[in-house]
Amino acid sequence: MKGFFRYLPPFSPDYSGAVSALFSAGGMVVLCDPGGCSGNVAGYDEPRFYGGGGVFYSAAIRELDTIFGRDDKLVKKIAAAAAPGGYSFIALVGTPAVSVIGTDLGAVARAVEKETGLPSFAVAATGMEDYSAGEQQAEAALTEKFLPETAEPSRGLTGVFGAIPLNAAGGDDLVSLMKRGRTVFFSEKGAADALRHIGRFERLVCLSPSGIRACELIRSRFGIPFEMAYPESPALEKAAAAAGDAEKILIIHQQAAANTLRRMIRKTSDADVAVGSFFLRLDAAAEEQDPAFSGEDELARAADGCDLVIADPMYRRALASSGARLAPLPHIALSGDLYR
Amino acid sequence: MTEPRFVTVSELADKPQGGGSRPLLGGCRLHYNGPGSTGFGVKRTAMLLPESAMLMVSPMGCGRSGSVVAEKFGFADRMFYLNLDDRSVASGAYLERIPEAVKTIAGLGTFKAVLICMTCIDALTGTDLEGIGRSAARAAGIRVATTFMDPIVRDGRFGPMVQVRQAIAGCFEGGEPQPGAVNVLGTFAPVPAQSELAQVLRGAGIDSVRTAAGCRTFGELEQMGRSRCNLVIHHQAAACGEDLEKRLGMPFIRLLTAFGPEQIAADYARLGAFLGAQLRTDRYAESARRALERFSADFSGKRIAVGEAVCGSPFDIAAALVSAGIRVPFVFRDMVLPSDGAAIRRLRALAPDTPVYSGVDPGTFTASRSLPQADMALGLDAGYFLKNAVSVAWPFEETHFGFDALVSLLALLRRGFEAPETHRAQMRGSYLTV
Repeated sequence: MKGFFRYLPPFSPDYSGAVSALFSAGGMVVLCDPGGCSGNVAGYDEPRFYGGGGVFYSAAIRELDTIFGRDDKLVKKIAAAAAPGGYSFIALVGTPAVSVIGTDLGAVARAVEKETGLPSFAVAATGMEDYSAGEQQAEAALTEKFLPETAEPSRGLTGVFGAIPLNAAGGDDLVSLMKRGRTVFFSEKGAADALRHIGRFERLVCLSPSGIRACELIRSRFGIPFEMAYPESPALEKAAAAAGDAEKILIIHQQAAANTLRRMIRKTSDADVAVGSFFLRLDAAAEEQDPAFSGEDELARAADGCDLVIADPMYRRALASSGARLAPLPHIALSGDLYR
Repeated sequence: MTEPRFVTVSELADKPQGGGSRPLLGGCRLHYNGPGSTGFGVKRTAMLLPESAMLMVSPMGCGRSGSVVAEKFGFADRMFYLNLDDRSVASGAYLERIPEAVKTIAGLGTFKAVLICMTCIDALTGTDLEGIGRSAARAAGIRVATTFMDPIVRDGRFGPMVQVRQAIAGCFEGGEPQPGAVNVLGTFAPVPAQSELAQVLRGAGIDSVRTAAGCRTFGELEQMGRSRCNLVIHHQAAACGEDLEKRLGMPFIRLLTAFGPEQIAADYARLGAFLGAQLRTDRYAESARRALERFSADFSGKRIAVGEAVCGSPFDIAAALVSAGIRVPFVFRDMVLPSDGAAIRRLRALAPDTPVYSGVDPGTFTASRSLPQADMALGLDAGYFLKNAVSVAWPFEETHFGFDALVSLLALLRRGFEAPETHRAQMRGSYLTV
């Protein structure tokens, strides 16, 4: 039955991906929710929230706000919270509640910009897609907002999209792993300025398929090349070691991390390795045997005949019928911080 | 902003409360839902319904929290999800799939009931949840309960936590009344036979103290409808008491968990009158008096901030602590409840200048370093902001009532002083995983 899940839990939603992409980027992020959605982000999807430097608020939407469409009140709330200053942007992120009543978040963002004088933009997440879609929208919106008309000459920087916990395999710290020389992260403080001076960048890297839209936008305007890549990390090394003498392996994670793991496994094994994902994927980076999942049946079919599945432990119940051994490769989008 | 905004207890006591809850600092502001804002959520509460499954009919995001909690607390096999997408929301097609989903769950043969939970989406589009429940029950041949998890109404009288409790109480079945049994509504845990409340009631001829959490089978839960009466010990369960009075004719009494010895004694007196029995509570009162004395002797002068992530009124807890010689540098309360009124007045009499902050106000977050310092912070919300204080998490899984509530509170605080745990470690032991 379409949309019915018996074994698999809901993944981190699009608004979590959007908040995560912007959380540490130096702005103020406002999730336009009643409070429950922000609880998901804070409690399960964004480990940096605990003690981190990001500023992330709930709009605390209430029933009467939805009935009367009190967008002016929302603008006032945001302006009051932004008053202490120090934010390089204000981002409004959508949720099911504002989506179903058809709030024009883009218009609200323009009103916020007018009221506060701070660059503001909206990410029209709905809570109905997974984190990768929200991350993609947020990175593209941030990029669109700050890209200049013209660019300065290249100075050899590398720009990275997607260095967020939701894209990480296991306990990987993507910022530490990617910090090499002149690297700038579009998910960290200073992102707005970095994008304003995009001409300083020689190449771009996105750590998951979500970053491709923003990268393509930059490439189309400024010709800066990009690639999707994930580093050979400690978490992937551990997972690769679990491959042993397995002959047919299924890896389930976000595509960039899973592809790197496949490459690592193939260094020492002749196993037939497929990469599957419920999240956004780049067809050009997929191999013929790689499945894309939208439901539990497809997942079970893909695992059938495998002797090893490398995936988050929360896939365990959905994979039980396959009889395959499960090697853990935690993913916050499934299990939060439970297994990292 | 350099100082977080606050209202003193004295100022708060002077404000008219009206019939409902009211925001401490006015409603027009964003919320900072900090990592310590913990509590028993809708999904964990729903799991109190024995031998049941829960079907979340919602966008992916709304089912998310339940999934991690379910994995952590071992009820993942009772959770089912019907995820909505844009198109099905626009067409309403998902509504037709609900009976089929319930039928699939019923077909597993494991469950006696299915609790359908819908969210803000359906609350806003005016879905006839009860009608859907009826048609699902007809199609699947299984008992179906329904509830909304719609935080857009969380500040109202029928917030999500009230509604899920109503859904559970809605499964009680009437019948021949059993005079030796009473229900306690508003707990997340059974009332143990050796507890103070159970023993006090036993002295009044009541040998069965029932709670939803204490029911092992759905049949036992249905039997709760035959108990003599309902004791409502949490404000979120008051609506259940009213529902059951109306539907099954069960009388109820509101006895919200209190922490001041005089208030507790007064509550027992009211309970005795309600039951028509003389309740013997002297030895418990004496035990609490001694515990309070010992605590006061050992910790008088210490500073304990009282957060909102507790079970009971933080004002009531603060008043009890102040009367024991403890200094309470501040209290957190964002929505002031009608049931806080008496405790606010008691605290005003003892410490009128106590500042009350909203733990979710953006100013509290941005200027948290300016909060008054404390030796201990009770409640993980306060503990998150007070980095130098011992953090003490509220044990939501336990039920305490009467003098035992006070004794248990003091023991909890004593353990905190004697064997402190980090806030982060307690967060991991709590409902949130990050």
